[in-house]
Amino acid sequence: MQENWEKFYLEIDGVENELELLCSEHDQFLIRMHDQVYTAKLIPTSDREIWQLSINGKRHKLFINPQSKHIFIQSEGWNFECKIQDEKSKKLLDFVKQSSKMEEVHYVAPMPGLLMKFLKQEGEKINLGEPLAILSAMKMENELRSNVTGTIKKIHIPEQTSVEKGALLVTLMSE
Amino acid sequence: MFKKILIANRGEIAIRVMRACRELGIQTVAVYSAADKSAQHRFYADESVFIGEAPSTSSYLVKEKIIQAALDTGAEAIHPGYGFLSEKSDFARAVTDAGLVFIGPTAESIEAMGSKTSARKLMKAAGVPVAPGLEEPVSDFQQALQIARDIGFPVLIKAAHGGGGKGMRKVFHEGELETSLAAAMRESLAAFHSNEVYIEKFIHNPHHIEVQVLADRYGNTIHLGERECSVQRRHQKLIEESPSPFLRDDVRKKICEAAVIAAKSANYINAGTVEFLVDENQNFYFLEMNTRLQVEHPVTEWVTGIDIVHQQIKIAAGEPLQIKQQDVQPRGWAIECRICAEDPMNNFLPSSGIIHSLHTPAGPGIRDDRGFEKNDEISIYYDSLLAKLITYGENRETAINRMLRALNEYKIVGVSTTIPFFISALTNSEFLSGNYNTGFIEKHFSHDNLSNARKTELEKVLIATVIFNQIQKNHSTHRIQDSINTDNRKPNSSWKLYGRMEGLRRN
Repeated sequence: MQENWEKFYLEIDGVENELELLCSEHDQFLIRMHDQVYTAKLIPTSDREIWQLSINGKRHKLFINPQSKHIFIQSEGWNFECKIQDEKSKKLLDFVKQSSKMEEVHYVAPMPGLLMKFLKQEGEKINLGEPLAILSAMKMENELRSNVTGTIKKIHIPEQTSVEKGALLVTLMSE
Repeated sequence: MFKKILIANRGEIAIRVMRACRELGIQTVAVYSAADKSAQHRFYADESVFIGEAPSTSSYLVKEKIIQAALDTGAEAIHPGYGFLSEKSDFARAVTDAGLVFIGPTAESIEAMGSKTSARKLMKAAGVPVAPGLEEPVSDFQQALQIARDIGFPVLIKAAHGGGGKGMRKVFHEGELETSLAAAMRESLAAFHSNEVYIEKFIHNPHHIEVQVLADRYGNTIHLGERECSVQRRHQKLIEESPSPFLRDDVRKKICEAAVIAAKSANYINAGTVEFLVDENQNFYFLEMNTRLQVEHPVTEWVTGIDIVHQQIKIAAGEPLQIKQQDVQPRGWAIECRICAEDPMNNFLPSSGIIHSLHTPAGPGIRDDRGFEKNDEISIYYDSLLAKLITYGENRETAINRMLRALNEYKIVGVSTTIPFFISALTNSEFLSGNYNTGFIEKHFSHDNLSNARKTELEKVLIATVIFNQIQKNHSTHRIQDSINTDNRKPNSSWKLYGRMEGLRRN
């Protein structure tokens, strides 16, 4: 049998992973990842979104739902969004990326609520994980934390404003 | 006994109370807001009344509307559940003044215990130990600073009329006092209609242990044992168990007796909970009394075999307690996890959305008190509790293993939930040892630790994605062939899709 490994690039939690896949007999796949080879199978259940994954004979139940740009998976309660590319489209995208390097990061409201207060002003530096603003929702004051290290370029709304989910709050320049 | 009861609440607790009513042959009336038009509690009840717009200040917190709804539907009593109006003495009084029965303590008892400052005074007088602090409310920063300096940092700012961690702030240094005071007062005003806060000594990493009491109007007061509620984040309980794995038997006896004294000193009637802070040497201090049904009451129900909501209704109807203290013989072990719509990876921020897939756990020793079903929307207007998962076992180990099994079966898709956090917490060696305190979360569940727990799922997710992608690709190749062959059969199940993949390979 001729070995025909296909290469894929998977982006998950902002990290890129390289995987190689080989269809073996029937529904079995061989997967090479981080210098290890796994035998795996993915079997549907009566619920079209619940699949049984078996890796080296060990079985797990996963929720899988394809979206337009990624595949949504829930495993042991954790939610994941996984982007997958084959070698060809990856090369194409890398080429496009090189011509336009993005540095601006848009921080949007993760949920609707009342934007109480910004804890940083325009021009101030902020570290990854540092509190950026306080958003009141579900009767609790919630700290919004920066997802990058960089500087506050622009604050887009005044304090004490009701915001919808996805509303642009702050533009940051990442380092 | 009552023929009809109105339940002035929503979500899982409204349904839990309605279930008890149905078991007792009592009709139920639900109230609902604009955000809850298709909520489960509305449809579980025999009747339902619309009471206003989505914000709770326009609906679930408007006592006039709720009392009117009870009068209009001919309900004889109102069960307030927890939160909302459950600990508002003016509500209890207004209910009684309208000729209805409030299923809970008297307005006077709620007042005595509801103001944390007056409760402290009362407990001191009855000889129940309290934590060092002041009995007076504070609003001015300079005054707060003076008090805090007198007691000594760290201090705790607490809502005088609050509970559940809202309007509460831990203050370690003088520099944090002003902003913390302002935040606590704002939160307290939003949640409890009063910005009164007070300051007490912060006891570092205590155990939070509470005792369930029941009292009828004929002077019979009993306790149903204790609950350990030390797994907390920002003073919100996350995991509760009964019995406490930490308490020595002699202390257990003393703390339960103290709870009965506390309830009696407030002339308490109905179900209530006396909360204590317990230090590492098993000294205990009165914290507060919750004059209502607690979120975590099911763990006590399971180990004692007593339905607390049944008892609440019977007591309110004027029946004497049939249970004597010596009849209460806790057996086995029960644990509860509060499953919330919050994202553990994003600082436990509330997560809203539509539940588009739901699989619930079942089998021996599982109780799932849930307020939503598939396709329900989880809105931002109310608190983030989705469901309470309770498991029972003949011992602690069985109860924990059963909980892990149930959490693994539970699949809620559409919002982030605290399920993965619970899986990590219940496998933590300190939790398993049974000697954990309120510092547990801070000590073990930093962002990095949770992130590592999440990483253990990566291998599965990566492998599943790459195979799933392959199955989809084969499927779409088939779809094109289908349309060419003018075959209109659409593959509508994963099995069909999968079968085609297999077929494709055989070709």
